[in-house]
Amino acid sequence: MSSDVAEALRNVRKLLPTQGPLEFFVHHNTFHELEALSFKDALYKGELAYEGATLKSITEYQKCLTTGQISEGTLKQKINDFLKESGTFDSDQLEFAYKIFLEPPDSNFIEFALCGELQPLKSYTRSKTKFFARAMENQYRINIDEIISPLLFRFFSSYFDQGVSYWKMPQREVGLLESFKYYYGQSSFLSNKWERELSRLIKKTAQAGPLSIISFCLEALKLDHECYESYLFELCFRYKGWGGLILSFEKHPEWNKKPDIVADFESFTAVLLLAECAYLKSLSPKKQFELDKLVPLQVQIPLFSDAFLASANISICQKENREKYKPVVEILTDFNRSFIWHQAYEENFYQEFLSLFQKNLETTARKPECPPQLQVLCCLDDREESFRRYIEEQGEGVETFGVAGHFGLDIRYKGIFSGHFRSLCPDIVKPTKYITEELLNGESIKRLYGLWADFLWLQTLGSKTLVRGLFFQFLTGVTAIFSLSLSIISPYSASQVRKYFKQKMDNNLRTRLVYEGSRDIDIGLHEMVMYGSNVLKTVGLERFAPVVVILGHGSHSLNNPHESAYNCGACGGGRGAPNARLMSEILNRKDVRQNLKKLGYYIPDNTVFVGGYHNTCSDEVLMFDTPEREDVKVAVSMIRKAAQRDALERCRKYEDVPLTIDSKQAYQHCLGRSNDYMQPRPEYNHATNALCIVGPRWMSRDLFLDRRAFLTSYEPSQDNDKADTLRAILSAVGPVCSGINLEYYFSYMDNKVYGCGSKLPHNVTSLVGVMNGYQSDLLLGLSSQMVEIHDPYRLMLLVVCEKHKVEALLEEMESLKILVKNNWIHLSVFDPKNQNLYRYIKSGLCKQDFTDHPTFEYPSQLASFFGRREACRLGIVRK
Amino acid sequence: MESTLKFLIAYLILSGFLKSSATMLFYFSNWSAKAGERFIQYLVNLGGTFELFIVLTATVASVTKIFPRQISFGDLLNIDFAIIFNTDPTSLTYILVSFIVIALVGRFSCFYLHKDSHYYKFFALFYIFQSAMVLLILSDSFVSYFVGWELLGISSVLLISFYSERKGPVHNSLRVFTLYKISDILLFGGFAVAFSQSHFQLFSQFPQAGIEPFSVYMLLTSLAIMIKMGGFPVIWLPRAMEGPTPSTAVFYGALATHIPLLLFINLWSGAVVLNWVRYGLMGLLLLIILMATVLVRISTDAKNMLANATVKHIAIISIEALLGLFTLAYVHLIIHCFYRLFQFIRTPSLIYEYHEAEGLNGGSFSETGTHYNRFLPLSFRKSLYRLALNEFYLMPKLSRIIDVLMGLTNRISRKKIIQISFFNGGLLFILALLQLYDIEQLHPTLFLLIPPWIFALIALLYNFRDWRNISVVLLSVTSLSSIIFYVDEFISLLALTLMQLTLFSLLVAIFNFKAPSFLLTHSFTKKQKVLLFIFSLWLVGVPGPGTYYLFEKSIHLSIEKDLYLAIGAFIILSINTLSVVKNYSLDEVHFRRNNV
Repeated sequence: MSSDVAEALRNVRKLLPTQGPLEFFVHHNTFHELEALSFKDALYKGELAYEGATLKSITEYQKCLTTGQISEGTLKQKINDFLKESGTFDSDQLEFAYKIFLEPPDSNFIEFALCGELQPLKSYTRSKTKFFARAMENQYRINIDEIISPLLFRFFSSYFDQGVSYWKMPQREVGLLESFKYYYGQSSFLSNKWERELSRLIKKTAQAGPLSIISFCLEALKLDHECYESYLFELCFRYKGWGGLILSFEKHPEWNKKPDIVADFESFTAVLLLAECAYLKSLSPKKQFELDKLVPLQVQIPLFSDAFLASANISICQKENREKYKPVVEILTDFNRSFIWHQAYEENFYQEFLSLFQKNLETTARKPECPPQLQVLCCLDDREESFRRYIEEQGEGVETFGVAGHFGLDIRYKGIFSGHFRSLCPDIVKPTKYITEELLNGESIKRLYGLWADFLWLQTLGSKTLVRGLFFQFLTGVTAIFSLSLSIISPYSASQVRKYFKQKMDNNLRTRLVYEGSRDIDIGLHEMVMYGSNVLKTVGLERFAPVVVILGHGSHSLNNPHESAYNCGACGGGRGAPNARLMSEILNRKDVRQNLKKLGYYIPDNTVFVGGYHNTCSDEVLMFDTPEREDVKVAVSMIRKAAQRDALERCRKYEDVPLTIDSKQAYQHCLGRSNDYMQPRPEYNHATNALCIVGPRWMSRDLFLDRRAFLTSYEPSQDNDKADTLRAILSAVGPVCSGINLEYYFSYMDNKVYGCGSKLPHNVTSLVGVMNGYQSDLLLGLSSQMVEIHDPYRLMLLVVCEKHKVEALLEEMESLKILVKNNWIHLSVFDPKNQNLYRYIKSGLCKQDFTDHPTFEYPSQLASFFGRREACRLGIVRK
Repeated sequence: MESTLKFLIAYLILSGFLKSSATMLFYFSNWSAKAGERFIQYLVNLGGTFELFIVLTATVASVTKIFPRQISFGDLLNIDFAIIFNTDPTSLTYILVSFIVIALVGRFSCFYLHKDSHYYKFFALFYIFQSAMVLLILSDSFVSYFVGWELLGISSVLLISFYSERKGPVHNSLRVFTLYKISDILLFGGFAVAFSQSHFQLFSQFPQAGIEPFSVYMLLTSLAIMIKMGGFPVIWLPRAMEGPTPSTAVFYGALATHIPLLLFINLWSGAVVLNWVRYGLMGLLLLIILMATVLVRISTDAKNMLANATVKHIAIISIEALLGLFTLAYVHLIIHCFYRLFQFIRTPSLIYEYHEAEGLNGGSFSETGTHYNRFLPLSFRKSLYRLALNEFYLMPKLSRIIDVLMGLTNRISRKKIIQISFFNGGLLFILALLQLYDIEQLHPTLFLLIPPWIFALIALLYNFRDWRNISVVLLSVTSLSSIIFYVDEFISLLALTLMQLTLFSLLVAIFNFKAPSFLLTHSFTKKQKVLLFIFSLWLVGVPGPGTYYLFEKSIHLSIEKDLYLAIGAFIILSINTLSVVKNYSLDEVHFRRNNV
């Protein structure tokens, strides 16, 4: 009995989406749990399980046909492929299939769906087992959640509160279930019937643990054992926000900052079940009897929409041999058609990119010959793509490299102005090194900041308590209106004022990183050498410029609960500045350089590494510990100039910015935007990401990729026969980039279900997440403001390496193999030896050639995007 | 000088309506969203600056005593009612405060709501709210104050249900609207009582009144204001936190909760009242403060916490007024208004601010509220927490009652609706009989209310669509106005009622049996629905013919005939307003569900 329940719970746990507190927002595939299936099957299954759209609607795809995002040729090709896979069809039938694809579904003649040849198709359905909630909805028009959820949401947010409330829930260390039992075990005379029933039920199960309560309730609801799993899934999925949080707390206990909170999924399920069971038991006996007869309920979801059937019916009526065309319609279900449309939509884009890549290699791309003048190591992030283009633009000898933004340093970091250690490395790695920032001088300033912090803290408390509240109102009430007015009238000047004061304060602050010396935080010499050589090996850095800048990145914005989703993914949603600073410090050390020499990396003595930080929202660039050298100053000014141009390119996507501004205005605008209370779109983050190139930068240097590509540097000629470097890169890049890409994909496709809807009514709850307005479930995924300009392409991963090496790696690396084989990402390989392009189709790499495809060319970087709001064509920039 | 002032005040009142109408015109025209947004940006920035300039000039002029302290519009509009506005420095200072807030939030919203699907809706309501503010602050006469009061209610409620495609906001907005309507009835009752006793139409006349009727008037008005400020009968303000952040900020953080309090302070500053009213209200406010302070302390999300805190502090300001500290109350009101506005606007930054403070401090802060552990035993704390977690069991109970009354959670069957309506009609009938017996004179007082009462209940409870709803409301309104016009001719009234009954049964028959398919399949577009909604709201609500008649006739009526008839008629109009709003807001939710 209870083993059944435990088994069911285990499966439920696997299917539920998870998301940690917003502070640790990590992009991941929304359908992560279905990755073992092929993409198409997962969409089909997920559509049923999660009840959200997984593809665009057909009318939207048809619109793409008119705008040129889908070409008719690719569409026909895809229809052909699909029909060939599902049976043998002659050319007439194919012609017919094209016809009904291009015809818009006709909703004006829906009556036609009910008659004619295709009438039986109307009964083609897939069924889903539903339980009490749906039965109540159907039978009595009562929504159970409307009744029970206010109580549950209030309880969960109080229990999991990480520090908003002034009084935390007393004695919550006894656990979720026990607390629930205590707080709802008694009812008042004002309680309604179901709350009384709930307290009765709780008293009845006072001694029982979560599992036995679940079994008890399931038993009381008279469900079959086979239904347990689907019922528990349905129940938990209705409360997926809090469920996801609890699952993430179970997985990452360090995210839960309050030790007295016990996150336990079984107790969570037990609480939900108690509430639902109590409600159902409080119904009148007649209703209960009727419900018992109805549940489990089979809901039929039609495979064909009426509008489509109507228009197909009309088309089929015009044909002579009607029987012949019926099987064609029969396999073109709504889902299949959408999927074919989507394939065509993606294919068009992939071809555009691949042909461009090939063309560029044939014509312009050359390996740089001249000695490097400046080298910049950036994160592989797609937002750095344009930034890097503008850095490179400034000279032949300027090179950029892309590498995961934590630079291989798996650390936990605590700055002088941060409260806790925070891990700055990918989500999957457990960091062991503790790095701190130490104040060299300016203790008094630190103390001043401490006072300011106390003031801020008192002010936040002030809104919660009576006397302090009154005090702070009179103290800050009138000044508040001035500061608010300034930030509303001109966010830019407000940010400048703030910056001015901050600089006054910070000017004398000198800090350094502490990473050796004491026993707990020591990074030994050989580890430093390892870290250093890893980075150099990964990006294939052999020749060194006099100045090498290492840039971490992050994002700063106001009024944005999802701020950490804008930060560096490789740093686990943190800002990558300390990693860059530490890495440059390591590589500047004499002893490290000597050891690196033994490994074959000759770093000239006059080469200096400078750590920095790029704010992708405001396009500010900060530098750490800069040496007083002329070439460093030149390098920094070059990078800042590039950042301004980058701001201009970003601004074209914001509809509230005129298209005619110049780069300086754009930079000011972005600076203001990042300090703007009224801006729900501080930046567009990873929106429009679609590509990932793993290969030497010179191959893609002249390409205008419109901020769509993750660019990872990799030098195939320096790699060994087993391609160890490539393996290391792919094991990180594959899951991370596909996670970002697929989260955007699903949040775009159905923002209400997989995303968190509009940002405007969001309300921060318990410091862990957001809900809608007064009360709702925690919202998962990305907001509509983040994904509105996204193009839902799956990631195209282009690896520059010998074909056989990639094939061997694919066999070896399970995680990548699953992604590629199940089509969650598209893989293509460019073999530098024989200059061939291969694409992974079905089960292997097939050679393809796009050299005869037309490609786009732009005379300059500016010309590629200037004056355009919508997505630009990818193209080659001719100098 | 007076004519200049008149022009300025008229401009301030009308500019909101004009801007709102311009926004609506843009909504109904086929301009692109981009052009519309640009137009509204001009409206907000230029209009806001210009108005601020005017208000500033007026305030300065008023302080330097160039302007008269009161101006009258009554002769202009050709109605029996005195329309008089205060233009003393205090009122104009408050106008200045609200225009600063409105200008700031307007500009904020231009950017914040950029590309939102309800962009126009926000600004249309926002500017109606602006006019309502001017009326509320400046009015010295009942009528204009009441118009402002109702406009404030309807605009803020429609902004709660801003995201009308989700159920939660719509339901919460209807709950709040029901409370607002109760407050309208109380306010109207207060005015009617005052008017029937002493024929006063201005607030400033009251200090001269006798104590006894004045106390009833003060009690009713104060309760109405306490409902509007979010703390009475229970703390409902958190439920209004459904709209986008700027609308929550300007309405519930700042003006909509604060400005009604201005009347409260004004009233009490000139009041000679029975002490039990004063102490009773003070006790009530203390209770509210006590409950609110506990609720603030256990709130776990940004907006609920601030909403509870707002209620708490507004109650404190009211107590200041009751204690006679008027200057303090005036200043405190302004300061609190700004302070909360700022806090509400920054609610999405909560996580960031929390971490910033923690980081600057260099570690976490010590746990809050632990000093209570010393003198409150654990069992007491737990019980208190349980009470607070359930919102003292009060608001859930109240919202359940409202849900049942409005038919929100449970669909009431047709049979039951008819039963309820006729049962209520019967009750009214018995009441009327009793009254007849009491007064011993034959006058069709309460009998008159029976048919419109039944129609109104049916319209409220039954989820009619589009025309059906409107027809029932129409019926109810016509029968109501028939009371007002035909009050002396009992027989003609009877005939009219009978006629309406037949009309009603005909309508029911048409819509319940199979009507021609063009009628059934014809559904309104979204824009048509908005038009229809505005029309029917105008018909039953304020400022519309329904209320105009009420004020014109029924207050006169109440002097001659029966006070309860006027109040009863107003209650019926309120129910009609409720059902119009309910049908409009629920329409989209249900429509969506049917589609899915």
